[in-house]
Amino acid sequence: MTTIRAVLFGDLIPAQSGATVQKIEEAAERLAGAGAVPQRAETSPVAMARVVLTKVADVLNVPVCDVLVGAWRTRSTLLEAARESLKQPGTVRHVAVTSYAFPWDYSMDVDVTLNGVAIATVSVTTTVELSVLTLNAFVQNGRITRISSGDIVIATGLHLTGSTAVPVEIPLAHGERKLPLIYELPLPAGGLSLVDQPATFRG
Amino acid sequence: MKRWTLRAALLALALGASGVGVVPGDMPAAAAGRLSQPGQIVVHSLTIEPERASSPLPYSVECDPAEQLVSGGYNAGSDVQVTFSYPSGAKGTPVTGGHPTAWTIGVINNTKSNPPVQISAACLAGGGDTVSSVSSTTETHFEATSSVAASCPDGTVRAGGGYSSEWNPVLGTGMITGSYPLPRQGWAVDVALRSGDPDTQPRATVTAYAVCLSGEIAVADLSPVQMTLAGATAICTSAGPLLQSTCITPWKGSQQLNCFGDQVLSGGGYQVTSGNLPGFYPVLVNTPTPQPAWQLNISGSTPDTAPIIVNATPVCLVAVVTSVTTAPTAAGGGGGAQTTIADPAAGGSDLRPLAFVGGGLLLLLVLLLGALALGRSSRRRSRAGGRVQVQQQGQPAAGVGLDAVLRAHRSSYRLDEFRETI
Repeated sequence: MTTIRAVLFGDLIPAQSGATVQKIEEAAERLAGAGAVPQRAETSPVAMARVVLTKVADVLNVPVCDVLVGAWRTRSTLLEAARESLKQPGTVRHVAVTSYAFPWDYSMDVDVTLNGVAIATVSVTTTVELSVLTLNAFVQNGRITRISSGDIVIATGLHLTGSTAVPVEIPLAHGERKLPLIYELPLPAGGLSLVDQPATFRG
Repeated sequence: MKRWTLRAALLALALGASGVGVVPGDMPAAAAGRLSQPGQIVVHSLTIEPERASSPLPYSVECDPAEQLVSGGYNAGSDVQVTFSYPSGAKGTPVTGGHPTAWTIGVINNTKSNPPVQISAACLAGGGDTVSSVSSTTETHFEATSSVAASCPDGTVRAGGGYSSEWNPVLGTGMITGSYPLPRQGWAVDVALRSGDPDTQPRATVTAYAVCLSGEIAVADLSPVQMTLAGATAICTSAGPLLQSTCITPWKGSQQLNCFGDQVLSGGGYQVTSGNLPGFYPVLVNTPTPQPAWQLNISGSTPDTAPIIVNATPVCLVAVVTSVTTAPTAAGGGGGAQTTIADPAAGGSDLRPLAFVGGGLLLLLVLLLGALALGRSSRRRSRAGGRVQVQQQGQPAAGVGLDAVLRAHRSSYRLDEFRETI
């Protein structure tokens, strides 16, 4: 499963050696160049920016399909079809969607600590623009039981939105990807639930 | 490292020359000698009205600058959820290896009101050279239950501890089911995994923190108090044509922990030894109080009817003995008398050989210190040149603990920008 981190910084095992490190390094240089981390005698701003970006990259290890499923569960034709299918158990509904698009934001505040003492806080936001094109899916009993086609187009950007050192907003990294939905979203046995269903009580 | 070793050797030499020794920190209090002052615990408390939030917001209370943080906790009602409780800096940033100055808790308030929550920091005042630090361990677990433990370094004692659990409703969250002192120098945290999205493999990333004290202080024996939660009459739903009747049992228990005599209560913890805690956040009170004491209140409901037994353990500190030693004299035969008190009235003529040896050692010490100062100044010059080189490469200087800590994170869909074409 592709993650937001992979779209933004490259795959964990990239085709080109060092590509991920290089992208994080470039973002770190932008972050340090903006003056978002303070000058200290013990270490350089780039080193501080590097640990911030490494932490941010760790946190962004979120599968793209998780973001998509969350959106479907929030507002979508698929969700409406899933709710309808619960009212008519057993019936299978075919859902065809030409285009489904939404934005998702993920903000984080990261403290830079030097020998255990916080010396600065850096705020960054990842903006994800995700589209699903030519989706054909089948819904039954509140669950997606089959996806026959669909492509994910994802564009994501990482921005500095503030810091205790200087109030400045600049872009830090950007990535785009087109992903086949059927590989990104393997459906579990019994289908992927889109609606809250009553728990089954054991007697 | 070599520099410190040499410095320690010189210090030992100087102490030997002056005839004064200090007993290591783990020495039992019963030994003869002069009892150092253990200090006294001051509890700083702050009552907050947490904002409404669906993810934890941090709140902190600080020790005074001259005090040493030893532990902390909270007193909350059942309306809010306290998800973490740990030693921190003044801004609430968890301290993972340095000097803590505050205690921080994370509160989720899903109600429409602002129920009060009290947060407390236990601080050691007047403890002489005692200094607190934090040792921590962070682990990610995928199993249903797990434990994480942090251990204080040798030469320090564990005074208290805490925990934090990464809040992630999607990937799962570790629910803290125990936070308690280990028999030696550690602090352990028991974790139950609460699943997030059913389509992701649940995981829990949890940090255990041990607050460690250095100085002339030791831990008395840990004596847990067994607390059996009292179960009330089960509350059941009425059965219908489709659903069976289901029942939940309310459980409740409270315990105040104290220390004996001259001991100083620095912290407290709890560990479930039988059954499961009732609910996800049933530990409503786990805090130091000004008496001084440690208060633990647990209240919650669960379908389980098995008895719930919790070990509540106070951490009690005692001052250790600082002794004055004499070197063995020719006539006295006092070899090995490390804990005897020097008697200034003892025969002065017998001490002349000692004075001679001590004078020689002092002379040697002065020569060694001179050599050390010369060596250090040359190293400093060379290191200053090296630092420029290092910083050009963007790396922190050796020995600098540079880290990034996630303070808060939040995600949201922009619902007004959803677009769909069928």
